[in-house]
Amino acid sequence: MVQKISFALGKQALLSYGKSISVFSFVFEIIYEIKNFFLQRKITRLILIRQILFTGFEALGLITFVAIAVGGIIILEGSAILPDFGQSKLLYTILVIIILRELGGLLTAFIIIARSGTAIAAELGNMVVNQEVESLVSFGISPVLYLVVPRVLGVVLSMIALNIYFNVAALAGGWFMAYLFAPIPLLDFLNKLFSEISVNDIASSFIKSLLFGFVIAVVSSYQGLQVSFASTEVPQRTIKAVVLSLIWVILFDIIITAIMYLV
Amino acid sequence: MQKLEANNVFYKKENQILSDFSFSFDEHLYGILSDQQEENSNVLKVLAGLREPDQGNILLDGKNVYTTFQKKERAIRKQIGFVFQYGGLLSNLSVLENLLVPYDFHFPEISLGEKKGKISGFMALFGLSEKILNERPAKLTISARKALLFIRTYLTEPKIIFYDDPFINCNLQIKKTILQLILKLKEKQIIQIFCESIDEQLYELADKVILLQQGKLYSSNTFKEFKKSNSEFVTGLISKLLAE
Repeated sequence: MVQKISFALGKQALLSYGKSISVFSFVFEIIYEIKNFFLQRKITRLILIRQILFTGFEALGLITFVAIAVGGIIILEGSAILPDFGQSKLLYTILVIIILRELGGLLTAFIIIARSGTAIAAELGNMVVNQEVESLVSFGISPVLYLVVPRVLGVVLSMIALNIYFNVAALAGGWFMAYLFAPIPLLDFLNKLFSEISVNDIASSFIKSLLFGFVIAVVSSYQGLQVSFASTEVPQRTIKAVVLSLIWVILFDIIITAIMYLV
Repeated sequence: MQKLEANNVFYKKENQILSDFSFSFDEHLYGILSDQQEENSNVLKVLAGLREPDQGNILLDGKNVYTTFQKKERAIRKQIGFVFQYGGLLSNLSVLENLLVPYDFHFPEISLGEKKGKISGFMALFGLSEKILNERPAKLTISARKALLFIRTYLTEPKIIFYDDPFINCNLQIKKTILQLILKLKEKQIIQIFCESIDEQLYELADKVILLQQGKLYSSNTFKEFKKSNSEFVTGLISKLLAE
């Protein structure tokens, strides 16, 4: 029954041509098709690999630069201000809170929105215009299974990996900056840092990256597939994908942060 | 015996594209000629189950071709091929990957070697070099892209094939090959339905031509018989086709 409802909703969503279809039915089908994705690996594996390469691997350079810079800046600002208040010992707490709990996930999400969210919306939009989506339907292949699920999985996996990488790179950047001003052995730095990290910080970071990745991929795919006929709709939908992804990511960030502090 | 039946089908977008359309297609070659030529693609897509009719149904051997049930859809789609007028090739895949998408989906049991062998056969038939198999569709000529749409459809050996403006964007060699293949499939008694807006040749070869007036079935007969007709509507439609 679930399968019937899911497929019906998804097919309608993709062949609606201008009719407004609920994003909830779209999410519902994505979740359902994740199971089928593993059964149809032969035709979907390539899309997943390419998505991970593009979203994850090719973003490493930019992530490294932003993460090291942000980690360094936090240490720089903190070392300049905190001693005036006699709170130098809070430097590591602030670094952990800002990077692990907040900026790591948020900045990684922003970079993914800018690179992959726009690319997904524009690519899927152009595929609709070029009848590529309809040709998949003519084969009996669910466009959600073939086009959306690999992108969702690729973005989620990349987001989780990049978030971990961002955190490590930012903390390394922080150490490097701290070392420049007041040379501190790496082991001492790590000891102080780990004493500040709690399970909550790691859980919060992981949950955020998982949700952010899902939200970015779903919003971007949905907007891309809402293009109906003209290529002029593609940039409009791409902009909408960026704006909505940013809004949803920040909303989820607030909600998870609030929950984590309450726990 | 395969049969595609349209029963009191209504389909409307801005115009009434199909209106109370009923027709039974059996194992022959059919051409559809409509006074709303710009809606030809939609007529074929409704008949192929790619658009949901507002009313009525289209049955292939008694089973509805427009279904929202995934398992049934896969079985029906395996039997129906659709050659798009333009586009339709996945731009982010190579030519070989494009040809393999429906083939792998419907025939996972066939080995890659066997599939590649069949693809090579079709490439040679259409006069296409196998070097292009690793290229993206955007790098190819329009004619080659059109030929690939035919190859992709023929590979899975569907029992019913729809052609949306088959000769548009085709060079002479590819057009000749398409004609030969359509005639070969006609001999094999595959149901073939087409709409063509630039060439009357295929209508001459069709077993039956279906005339649509504002989405309603006006008449069905051979093109030869229609050419003899005195009806203003029929002569108007034919002269419009010949003028293209």
